[in-house]
Amino acid sequence: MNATSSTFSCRSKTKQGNCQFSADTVTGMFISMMFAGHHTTSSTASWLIIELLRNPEVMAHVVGEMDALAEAGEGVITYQDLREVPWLEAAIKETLRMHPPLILLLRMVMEPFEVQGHTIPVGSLVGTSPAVSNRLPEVFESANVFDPSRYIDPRQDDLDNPWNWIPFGAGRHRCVGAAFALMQLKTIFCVLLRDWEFEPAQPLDSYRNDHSKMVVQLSQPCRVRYKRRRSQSGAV
Amino acid sequence: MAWRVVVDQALCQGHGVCEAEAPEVFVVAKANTVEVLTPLPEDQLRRAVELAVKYCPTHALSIIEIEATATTGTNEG
Repeated sequence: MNATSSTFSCRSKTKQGNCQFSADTVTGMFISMMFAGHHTTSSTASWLIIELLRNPEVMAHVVGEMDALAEAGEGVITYQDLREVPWLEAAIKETLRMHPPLILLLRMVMEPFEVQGHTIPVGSLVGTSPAVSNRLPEVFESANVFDPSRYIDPRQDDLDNPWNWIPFGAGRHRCVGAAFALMQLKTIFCVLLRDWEFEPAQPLDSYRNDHSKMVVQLSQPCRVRYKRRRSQSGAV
Repeated sequence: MAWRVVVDQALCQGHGVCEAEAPEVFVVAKANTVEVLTPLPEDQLRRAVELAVKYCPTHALSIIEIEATATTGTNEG
């Protein structure tokens, strides 16, 4: 790891010829790259199942879309196919809006600015919360309602509100893995929903986030039942 | 209604996704940021440009609708 870090850090040099990043910084980047995509995606996948169970009409749209894809491709689903799945994509986006896995984004102030009479000085860390921003009632109609049609053509609430719809953050430090995360979730769900059907194993309003840990995760117990769409059945 | 392509050069990191979506409109040279070949593309390229906007990994692109008469004088792109 040390050798790798030094190699990478010294590829990128300042004008004076010094390494731009310390070995510690590069190691930190590696660690965040490796781990930032784990709990975030699993939390989103869990919430997506829960929201689909809470909204059977959306589940029907998404499953119909997946079945049509599988049928058209005779079982083979391509990268190109997964770009054209508006209902699944919209359901994922709406899940991310309502249940962002990261609820605090920190930004360093580079120029002083004013908020309600207070000057925020250079060098301050400012926290913004996707959990709040994603549900601003003045931006999102019926902000507390799970409504994937917000992203169904011609609506595009995410692109129209890039500074409010921020489960992946925004600007220069927008999540580097956003496109990967969306594709990963689509891939998981096109197989999951093709082969399995789900039902709640506890009251639908009992699925909640646990905010007591460093990362937001679903409170336990958090169970659903699943069975094979044709015959066999099982439980988690 | 005419439309034009706008790039936020502060956000572009030169991934080149836009060029893959709409090569008639965008060029991204190696280790460079995007160059917009035609800020006012033909309407038949609209869908491709919309996909470029949608799939830009850094959300650096947007489309703005403009009045047909006011097509000059900005420096975007």
